[in-house]
Amino acid sequence: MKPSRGTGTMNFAPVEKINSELFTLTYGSMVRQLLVDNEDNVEAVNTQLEKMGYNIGVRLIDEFLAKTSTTRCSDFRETAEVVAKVGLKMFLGVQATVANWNADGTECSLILEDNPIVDFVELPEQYQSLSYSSMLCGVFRGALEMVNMKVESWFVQDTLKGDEVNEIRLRLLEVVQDEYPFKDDE
Amino acid sequence: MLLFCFYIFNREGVCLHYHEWSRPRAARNESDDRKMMFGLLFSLKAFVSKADPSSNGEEEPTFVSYRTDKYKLHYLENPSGIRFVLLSQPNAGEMREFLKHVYDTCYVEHVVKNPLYSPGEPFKFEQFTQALTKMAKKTHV
Repeated sequence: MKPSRGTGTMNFAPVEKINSELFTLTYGSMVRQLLVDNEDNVEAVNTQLEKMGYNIGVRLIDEFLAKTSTTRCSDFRETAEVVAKVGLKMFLGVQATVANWNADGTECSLILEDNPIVDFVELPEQYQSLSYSSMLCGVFRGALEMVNMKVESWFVQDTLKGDEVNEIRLRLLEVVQDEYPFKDDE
Repeated sequence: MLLFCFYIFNREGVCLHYHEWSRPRAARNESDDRKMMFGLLFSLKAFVSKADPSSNGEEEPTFVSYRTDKYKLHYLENPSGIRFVLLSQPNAGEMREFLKHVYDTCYVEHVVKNPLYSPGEPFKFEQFTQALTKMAKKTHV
């Protein structure tokens, strides 16, 4: 089933929503707390955020599949489109565009013009290397791993650091095949 | 129309949940029963895909159900690897919709969204069981 442009919006409409400011402020205070807990070790906070995102992604995929009844995507291109158009729209309320494919079709960029998590946020001097929205990268990694795709994702451009748009690079590492988990003689 | 029992497996073969409505012929050994069920489904899926005589082979056929004279087994698998298995009386109709509903309303709502649940572990949640039995009652008078 190829998702049409409207599918993301269709799925976004009936979903229970919270106030985006509440979400943004909650996320912000969580990052702040992480910084305090890790005594301003920015690298550690980046890793934590990504890991939290991974845990979210692992569960989010089931909700996504349930609400959209998407069938298996035939290749990585389709996957990227579905993530950008349907997934992001459904959970963040914004759509991304997919661009900058590499020659193999294993790497692409998701361009997000507007990232609701970073509303009202300004990065102070000492936290310039903080990947504030790396939770999103973790979510992609977690969700796609549950559908047999090992990916790596990171921010290339970040509006918090002065760039025009947010660009997240998504690289497909491998497609894992289903294996029989039990030994044959058991 | 009677339902016998219901399993949920994940991709690794872990039986996440087992629910029984009525099972006159109980399994001798529970963990063997689960492994056997998972193994069967895994092999069936592979077989069904290889034995497909139709069309182009672009899309893999999905195993839906099998029926014997004593019971019918219904199967639903999601891209995330979660498998639902339902055993009912042989006269049951198409239960895929029911299984899909169980996924949507019971599993996602009460299990996935439960912050105390770690994905990949067997669970036994009151809310999930209640929702499941309610849905079963609603669909089968």
